[in-house]
Amino acid sequence: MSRGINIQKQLFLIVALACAVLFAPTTMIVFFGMMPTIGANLMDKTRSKSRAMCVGMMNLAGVMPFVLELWLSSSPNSLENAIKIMMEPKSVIIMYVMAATGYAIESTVTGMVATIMQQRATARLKQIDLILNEMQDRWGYFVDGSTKLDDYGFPVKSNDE
Amino acid sequence: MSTSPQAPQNDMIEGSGDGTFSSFKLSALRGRMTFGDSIEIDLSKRLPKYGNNFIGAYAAKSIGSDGREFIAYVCEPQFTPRNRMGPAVAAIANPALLRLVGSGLGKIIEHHTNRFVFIYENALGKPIADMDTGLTLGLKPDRVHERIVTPLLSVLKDLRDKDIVHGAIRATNLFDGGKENFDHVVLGECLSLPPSLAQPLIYEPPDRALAQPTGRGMGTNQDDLYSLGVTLALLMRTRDPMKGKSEADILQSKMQYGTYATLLNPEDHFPGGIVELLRGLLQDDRRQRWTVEDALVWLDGRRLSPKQGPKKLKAARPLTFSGKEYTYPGSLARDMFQRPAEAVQLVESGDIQQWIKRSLADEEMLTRFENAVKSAEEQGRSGPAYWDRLISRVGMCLDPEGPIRYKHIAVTGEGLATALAEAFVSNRDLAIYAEIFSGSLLQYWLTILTELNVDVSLLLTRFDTCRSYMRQPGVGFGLERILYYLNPDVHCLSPVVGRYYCRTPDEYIMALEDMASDKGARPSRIMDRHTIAFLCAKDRKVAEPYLYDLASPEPYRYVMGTLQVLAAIQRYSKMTNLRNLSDWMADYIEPVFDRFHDRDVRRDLRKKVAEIRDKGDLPRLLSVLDNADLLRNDLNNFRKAMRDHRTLVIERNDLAARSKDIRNFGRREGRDSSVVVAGIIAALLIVGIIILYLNGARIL
Repeated sequence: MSRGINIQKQLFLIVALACAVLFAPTTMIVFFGMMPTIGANLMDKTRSKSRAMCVGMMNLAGVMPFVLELWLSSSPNSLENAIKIMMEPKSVIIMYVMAATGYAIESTVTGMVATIMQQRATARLKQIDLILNEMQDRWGYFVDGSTKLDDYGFPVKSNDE
Repeated sequence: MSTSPQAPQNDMIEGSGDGTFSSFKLSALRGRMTFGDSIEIDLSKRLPKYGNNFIGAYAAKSIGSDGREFIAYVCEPQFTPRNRMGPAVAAIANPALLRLVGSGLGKIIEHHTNRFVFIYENALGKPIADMDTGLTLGLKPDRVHERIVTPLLSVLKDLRDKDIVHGAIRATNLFDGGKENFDHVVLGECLSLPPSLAQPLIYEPPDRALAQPTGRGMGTNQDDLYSLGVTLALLMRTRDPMKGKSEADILQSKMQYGTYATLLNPEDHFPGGIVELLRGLLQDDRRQRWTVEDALVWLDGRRLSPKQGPKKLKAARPLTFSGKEYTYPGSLARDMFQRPAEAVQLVESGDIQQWIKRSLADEEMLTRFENAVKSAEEQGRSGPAYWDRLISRVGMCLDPEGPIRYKHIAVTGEGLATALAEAFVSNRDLAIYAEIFSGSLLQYWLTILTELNVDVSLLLTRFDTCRSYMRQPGVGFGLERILYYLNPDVHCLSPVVGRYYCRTPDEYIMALEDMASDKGARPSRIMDRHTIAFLCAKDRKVAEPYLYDLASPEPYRYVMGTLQVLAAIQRYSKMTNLRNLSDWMADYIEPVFDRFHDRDVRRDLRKKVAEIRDKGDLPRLLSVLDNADLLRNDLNNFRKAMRDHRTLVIERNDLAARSKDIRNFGRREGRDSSVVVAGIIAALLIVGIIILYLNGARIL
């Protein structure tokens, strides 16, 4: 089975390389436009790679107009147009700002969610303490199971009592 | 001159267990005692000539306008009266018997104290004799025949017809009825004490005289006839052949020479008819003694020859014991019992066995002796306990018609019950009775009776039941149960209600109702061993189903058992309006609430109990608490609460542990959220850009 996967991967790589060569202008724009994503992916040490994903998705949104620009021009997917686009400062700014926006979203949302969850946890802890106290008031101190109970659910008296 | 019969002398009582018996003092009762609604008893006005050392007689009168006067006998707790015989005696209409007007509880309301009382007509007059021992009135036989024998035999016939034994026929209990010349002799009361308890030894047949006064048992009408014979002899004789002798000497003489020869002087010459009567009545062998029928036949004028009693068994050669020589085994048995240490030596040496074999030459007695030794050895053959068993059995073997002797008590088979009752009330050593009922002494005694052709089936059943009660040590059994089983007349001796003199479950619950009226006087425990045994003996169904709860060391079980018993009594007796008791029980059952885990259930139960606490309805109170479904649901809910508690504790610990790492807490979820947010924004932007570009928009 591992052999099959390897074949699939190899096939995919061959197809991808063929496409990259075939659509070299597009590949060039995507490659240079998505450089922040590559950098974020290398720097993100988390298992979920959430930062790289946020940066990547926003970076992709930033690259998308220029890919469309390349393909919808008078000479679609030409290397000349691709170089022209890449040489335009506005293009690089838009693509990299969008990548930075992804980074900002990741930082902001993560911080916000963590804060909210910490507050909820604190409130839940207080609520649980209240519930436990109420249970002890209603059912007796031995409801916590820390005391050996008889068949009727009452503490077993020691011989001294 | 004494106005009451002499108390039996201490040296005459075989059982030294009665050491305090002769010095018994009547209770000092105070206050206003009432009997029912109509009779008031004046406790400050004793009537010594009608009472004796063991029973007090008091003046009583009707509360109504007629102001009739009565004699009230107020019974002492030590001596169980024959209270169930009251109605039968009251039904006897015989001018020679003191008429019983009523019997029941006399109440001293201000002291919350009851006593059993017998109310008699005030028609006794004066006693015809002031003393019993040494009495020699020298009355003419014809006069005695006409004025005393005739009326008293008619009384004995009436008593016999109603299956009643008088048990107190003696000269000092005969009265002149307020008339001179014995024109109206009246026999005094008999129910206020156990039979024969107040009888001086001289009036008792030798076999009964050997038993202690508290343990002589009911006896038979023939014992009454014997007492009548003694009474007649004392009234008619002109000289006392035993003058100056102690009662022990008189008893010894009776055992040796017979009662007739002991009481009557050969110089007293009575007409043949009276002599026949005396010989018939004074027969020591009860099988030869006249019956009521024989006496009535004699009264009709037919002359009967008194039966000749069997010759007393006498040894050919005497046996020396404790410096005295004995030829009669009965006398030896009595004295062995009083000197146990020397008796053991006598038995162990084998002398007594040789004496039975060679001098008495009684094969049956020899067999009994061998069985006695075997029976004593059943529970071991060493120590003082063995000696006690041995002496007791050897005594029975020598004197099979004598009392059951063990350690310092001597009782008849029936008298064991009354002796036990007296021992309980007087706080005597009960271990002796426990040994008697749990050991094989009674079974051995029954084998002797069987040999004497006595029907022992009733006693056998009774003693077997007692033994089974002794084998069960729990509440409701043991010696207390035997006490109430053997003595149906005994009131409940529990210290809690003892002063109320309760004889039935109904009276018991009414006593508790009265006690409950004083909140400060309510005891912490209601039912003790006495009460439970008493109720089991009186009515099994009100107490026996709850013995497990009543014996429990758990307070809630005991309390619940108590409530169940009291509710059962109220239900069966259909009593209503026990307001004080239900109020008491509402507080008493506090431990039962604690058996419910749920605070809310407890609160609801307390509320329900508070609503009915003054209704006087114990079964209803019980129904609130005795709810198995409620208890089961409570336990199930408690177990669920335990599970919930455990889950919450786990959650709390998890949260608390994660909260400690404040830098990372929630960041994973935050990162996941940020991916989603970024994905949505990016997707919207891409879609928007595509749409714009398709519509011709350009960025460059």
